[in-house]
Amino acid sequence: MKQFILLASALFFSTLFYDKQIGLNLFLFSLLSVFILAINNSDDFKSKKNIGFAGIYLATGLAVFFHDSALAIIANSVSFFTLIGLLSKNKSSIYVNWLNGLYTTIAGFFHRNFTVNEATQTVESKKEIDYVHLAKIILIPAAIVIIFIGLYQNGNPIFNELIEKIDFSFINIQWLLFAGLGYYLFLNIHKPIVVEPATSQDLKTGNLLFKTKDFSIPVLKQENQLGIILIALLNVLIVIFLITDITFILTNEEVRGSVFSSQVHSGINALIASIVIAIIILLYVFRGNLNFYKENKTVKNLAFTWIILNAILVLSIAVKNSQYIYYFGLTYKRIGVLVYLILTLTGLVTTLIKIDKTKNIWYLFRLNTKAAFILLVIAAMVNWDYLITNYNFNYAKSMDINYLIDLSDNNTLLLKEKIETKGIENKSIHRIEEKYKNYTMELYTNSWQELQYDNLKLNRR
Amino acid sequence: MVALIIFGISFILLATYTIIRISIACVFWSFNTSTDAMQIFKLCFPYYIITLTSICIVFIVTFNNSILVIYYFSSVYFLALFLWRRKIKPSKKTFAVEPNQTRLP
Repeated sequence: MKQFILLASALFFSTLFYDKQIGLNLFLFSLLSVFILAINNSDDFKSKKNIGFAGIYLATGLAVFFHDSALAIIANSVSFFTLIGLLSKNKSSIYVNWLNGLYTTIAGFFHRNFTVNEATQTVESKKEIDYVHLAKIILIPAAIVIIFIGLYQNGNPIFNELIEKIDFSFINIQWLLFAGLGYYLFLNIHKPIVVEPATSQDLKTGNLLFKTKDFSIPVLKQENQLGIILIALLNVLIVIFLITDITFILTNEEVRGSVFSSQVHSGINALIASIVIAIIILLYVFRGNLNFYKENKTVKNLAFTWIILNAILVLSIAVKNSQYIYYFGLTYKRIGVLVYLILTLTGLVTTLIKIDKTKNIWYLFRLNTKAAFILLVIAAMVNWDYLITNYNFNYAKSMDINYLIDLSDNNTLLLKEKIETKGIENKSIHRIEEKYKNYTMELYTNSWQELQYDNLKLNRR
Repeated sequence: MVALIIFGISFILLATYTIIRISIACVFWSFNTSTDAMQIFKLCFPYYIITLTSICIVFIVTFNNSILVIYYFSSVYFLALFLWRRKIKPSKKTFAVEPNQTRLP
């Protein structure tokens, strides 16, 4: 039964993807993968966490159907590896899930043939297949039958006619090879495996810091003093920087693109450097026994202050970026800055929790990779090209129409709508018409596997 | 011309085999001779095959999913699996067993 399901899935895989663009097929593949994983790992699918991640995986597949963006495809692939990794070991960190998921997808079947079943601690008994005998019973009779067909063809004209009518041209070798690839993929993923010792090490490693044997008061006193001086000076420096920065935002009334651009980009560069160095310094200062030193309150408070000041720095950059967006419109780079700011803020908050609750560096890795994954999935749900176009037409003070035309096809229908409502110069109208014509042509020629949400929109018109 | 093509294909296949064989041997050489092959497989194979697959995918994408390139790199992947299998499967060689040597020093 299991083999039948895998074979049927492989044929369906080839039907979905052979010589096709990405569209509805990726969502159907996601459904098929979840189905195969669920029937082979029914116990694991009782966990709410696993069901949740399966839901995320399907949602990203649906996002690909709604707006065929590269980001949605990346999010779908990452969710696929996460789900498989999660099924291999439910309690491991998300980055170990990615490793397990990737390994299962690439070589799960091969690995299972050589390893002990970890759950039952038994070697899965496998029948030794005699490939030479298998080849003999297929090839020798086939060769002899072909020779005899050749002989009988000459002996009987009706038999000859019958043989010549047989036409195997409908068999597409590449389609079959693609189905073979699908079969191998499903064979790999149907029973997820773990990479050892990475997984067991990850499970053994907790989130808390513990006092070590070399706990020495005089050494810690020196470390404490160094920490206080260093972080206090950095606090003073960042306060001065913030005062000048906020003064600039409040007093600079002149709106010039170059000023905003240099402010935001140089601000971002400064921010990258300062946040990374801030986190490294804090991790170094609070790497060990200083966390358990009784008189560490001052250095801790200074660290908290520094984190909060860095968060204010993030906010000031966000204000500048949003002003930039308001005056000159949304672009991918400006959205990228916002994404970076969100990730930075998450990093700062997790560092604050790490220091406050005496957590170790693995806690930071675990939480921040999870945050990055969640942000990727949320970002994949948004049709950015449509959003950028819609915002720039309706809210931005000025915009670059050529930039909007150069975006992917996701904004084509909206651009076509806007031709009639906004005053756009003839050259741009011509380019939009050209883009619309090419895109609708592409949509009309889409097969059912390549269907997109825009196909439905177009049919409604 | 045909001879040249056959020679070229043979050379490419031989070079591919040699490179993969050496890369697997390097993994085993980095361990002590006493280390069990199964242990080396468990520790290194996942990272080896993930790296190899990534390299293959990068080449396939770089060459615009050309059919020939896909076939070649699929063969590279399966050849690597085959060679690993040969390395870790216990060999079926039979050794002559000496009779009891009671007078050994």
